[in-house]
Amino acid sequence: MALRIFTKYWCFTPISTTWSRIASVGYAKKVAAGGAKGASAARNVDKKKLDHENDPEKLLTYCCGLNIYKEGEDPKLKQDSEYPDWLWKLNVERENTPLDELDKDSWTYWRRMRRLANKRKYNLGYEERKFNSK
Amino acid sequence: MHCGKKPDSKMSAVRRVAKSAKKVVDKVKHGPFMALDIPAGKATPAPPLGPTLGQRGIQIAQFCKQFNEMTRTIKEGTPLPTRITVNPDKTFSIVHYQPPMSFLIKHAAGISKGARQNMQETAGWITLKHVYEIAKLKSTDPINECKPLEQICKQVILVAKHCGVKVWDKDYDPEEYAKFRVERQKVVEEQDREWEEIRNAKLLRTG
Repeated sequence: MALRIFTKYWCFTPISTTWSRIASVGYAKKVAAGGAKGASAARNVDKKKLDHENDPEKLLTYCCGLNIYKEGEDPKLKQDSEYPDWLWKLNVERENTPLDELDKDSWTYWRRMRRLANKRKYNLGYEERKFNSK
Repeated sequence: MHCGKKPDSKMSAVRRVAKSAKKVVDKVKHGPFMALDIPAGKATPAPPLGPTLGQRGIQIAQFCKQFNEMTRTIKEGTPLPTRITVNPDKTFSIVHYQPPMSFLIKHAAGISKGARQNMQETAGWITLKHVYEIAKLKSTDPINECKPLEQICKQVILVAKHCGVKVWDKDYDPEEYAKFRVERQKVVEEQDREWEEIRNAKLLRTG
């Protein structure tokens, strides 16, 4: 019975944080009940359209959307010199750095090795699990 | 000789009773802590919010009233991650954070949806300055209290990667940006059209 009681918890540590969301509430527009045609018309309505800025000049000079309050303005972006130095050295690439280029003493290298090992382990037993479940 | 078991039954009487007892105690016991994303000023007792609150013994109407009052000054509809702690005497405390990073990034990039395939497509452009401002806002969250701002910036860049938003470390031309936005709009419209066709085809098959 103890296995059945399932509690989600949020554990907080200063350096790394993990938390689990129990439910993400989505508020869709109301659907007219009955009929496939009614449902399709309602589905065409985009439930998640953000009312965002469209002007590219404004998007470049202000950080739009940061002001979540009804009154007030979005903060204006400042000159390069007013931002800290470490900001310009952040890694911005979308592709992960390949394993050979990573420093072998770094946390990222060993985290990547751990994940690859887990993947390999999972894939080794995959066929057997597929066969046994049937 | 008399055998204990009947030839037909596969389970003993003791096991059968135990199994039926298990089915009765099927109700899930929830902990005192709850995490949700609720749009500001729009907490309603309707599902999906109502049943999740009710399962934990919270007074739904009271919760909605309290939440809407707390978020009165915030623009309506902004999703707010909320953390609800329920005490044994059914009283609760609500803490709400700044909106999620993906929401802020999409606004800063001027897009309504992220990319469908985040590594192959680029949904929007952003600069490191935007990243810094977003990180500064999110650093006011209680969860980020002890995090250095650099770490929060890295998190913002990671979330931008998941949304398909490209982060530039140098300034880009507003004209190029406008061109990119126009092209991206066409791609989005085409994707939406394809999706709608698939949906309509499904309906014709089932309906």
